[in-house]
Amino acid sequence: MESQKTMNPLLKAQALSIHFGGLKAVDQVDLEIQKGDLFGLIGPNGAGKTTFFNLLTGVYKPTSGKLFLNGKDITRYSTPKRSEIGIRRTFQNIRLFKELTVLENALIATDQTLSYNYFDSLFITEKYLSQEKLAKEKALELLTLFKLENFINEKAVNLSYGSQRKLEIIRTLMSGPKLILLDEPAAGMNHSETQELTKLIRQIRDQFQLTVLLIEHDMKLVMGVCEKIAVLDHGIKIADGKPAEIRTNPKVIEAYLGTEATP
Amino acid sequence: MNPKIRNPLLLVVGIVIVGVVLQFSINAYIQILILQIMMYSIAAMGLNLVNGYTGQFSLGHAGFMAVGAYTSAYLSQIFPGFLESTHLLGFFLFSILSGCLAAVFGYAVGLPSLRLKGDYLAIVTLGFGEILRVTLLNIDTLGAARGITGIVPYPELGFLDRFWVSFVYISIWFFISLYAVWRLTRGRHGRQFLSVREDEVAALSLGLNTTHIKVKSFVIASFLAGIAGSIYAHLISIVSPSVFGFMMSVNIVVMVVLGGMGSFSGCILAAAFVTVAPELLRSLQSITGFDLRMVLFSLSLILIMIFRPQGLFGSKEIPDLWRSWKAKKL
Ligand SMILES: Nc1ncnc2c1ncn2[C@@H]1O[C@H](COP(=O)(O)OP(=O)(O)OP(=O)(O)O)[C@@H](O)[C@H]1O
Ligand SMILES: [Mg+2]
Repeated sequence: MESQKTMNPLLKAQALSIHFGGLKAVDQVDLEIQKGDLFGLIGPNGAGKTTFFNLLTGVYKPTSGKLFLNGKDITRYSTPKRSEIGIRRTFQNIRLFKELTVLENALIATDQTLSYNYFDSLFITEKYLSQEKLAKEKALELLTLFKLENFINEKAVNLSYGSQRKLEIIRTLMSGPKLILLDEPAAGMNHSETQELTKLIRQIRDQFQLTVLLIEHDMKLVMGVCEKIAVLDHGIKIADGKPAEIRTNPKVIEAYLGTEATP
Repeated sequence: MNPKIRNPLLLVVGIVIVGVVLQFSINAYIQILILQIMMYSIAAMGLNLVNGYTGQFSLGHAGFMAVGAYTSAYLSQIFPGFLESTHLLGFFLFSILSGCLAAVFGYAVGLPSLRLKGDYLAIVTLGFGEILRVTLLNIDTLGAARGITGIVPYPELGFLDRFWVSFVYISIWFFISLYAVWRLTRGRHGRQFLSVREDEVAALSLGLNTTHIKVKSFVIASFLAGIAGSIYAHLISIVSPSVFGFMMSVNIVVMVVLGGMGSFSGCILAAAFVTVAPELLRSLQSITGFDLRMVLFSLSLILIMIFRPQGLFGSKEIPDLWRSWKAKKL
């Protein structure tokens, strides 16, 4: 742990802002995420959490500020390019390839790890066959880990809500990412599903040496699973630190009291 | 025998047998219809990549056929004797050049319109078809409104008559196209097309360059339309701006939609229907006194949209249906 402090953080946001007209959806946010962190991002509705994810994945270009991955300035990178260098996400309002099968959904996510071209596709070359086989094995391995192996030929749209969320996470993992961003991964799950998911998130973090940044409304989940937490309110980062510190932080309590129930 | 050798061999034998049967069993009029069905199938299979697999909507495919047809027609005009002296090889060369030029047009039309999100492609391709038609009307070297006539037809080769040679030539392109679209919709390339159709935002977040993917499918489709156009030029021997109008584009779209977006065998069957139906209805016209074609087309499209919005075959191929039918019987 000590040696990591001296290294570049995996992800660093520097005064990152985006304004929609007069609305400062994300305003001057500084954030450092170290390799291996399981980091929580919380805040009341409309605080700018999803917008912050959209800035990290390049869906929005920031009004000002910079973004670094391993010390490299990636502020101008496109969305596919960021995926290629290892940043992958899930969506708050699930975006699966609905009419395609579970297996196809997983396989699409391997695309950037494949190198065969049209020629290989046309003539079914050795390269085509071996890469497709590897990709399928990888997909099956992850689908089994998430207990979806019995649904591989099912259309994604027919999965239960919880399984759809899991399939989205599988998609982020297919290309060996560095950082995954999970936008409310437990939304719509029941208690036991949430418990199972919490365990899985820890497990994949350790098994694949990932860094995880997750948005969550379920305070129990965030406090239980995350080792560090940052709090957004009206686009501004009002606190970050260990769960225990966040819980007792007066600013955080006020932000939540000011809008809805206590955390 | 190794299927890699066996399957093409069976195909060749099949083409020869079917060709012989067709030659002796049907009249010249139906022979031409069959060749036209294969030609339109090539164009429709290409459009199926764009409209069916990639989920875009192109409405100007006749324009790309026109580019191909005029290329072949113009080349055979400025190199008289070339086709005769090279036998079928020259035709292949012309067809490939026609396909390539159509692909270049496809790239030029597709790149700007496919970069934008939304249904710009339909509007731009519609405009392209019309602009091209009007432009051709005004180019004197390409015959203006008369078009180009007397284009070199497919030759007789030895004891093979003209129908036979045309049949073999068009079959070869037909099967090359079918094989190509089949292969390119499998594996990663097929998944790329489908991911754009299903959810562009998700595809981007998984590292897919959706603009590239859309342009690729559009360029391949334009290439195949160019090939179909080249076949048209030598088969019909006349090209003129009026044939490659909006109606032809609509016909090709109907083939894709009727057959099922994403089903190639479906779009071949639909190509047959769209080509043959007007001919059958022509005899009815003398009784009813008016053209029934448009009524029938509209009616069949409406019925399909009501009862089978995914098209006759949906995204299934005939072999898939055959397999699931057999599985059900067991
Ligand atoms: N493209 C946009 N144009 C204009 N305003 C936007 C845009 N995207 C987000 N916003 C606004 O930015 C603010 C933050 O929205 P965001 O979706 O990031 O909140 P959130 O923290 O994810 O909330 P929730 O917990 O409800 O998901 C909201 O007021 C939203 O209306
Ligand atoms: Mg949100």
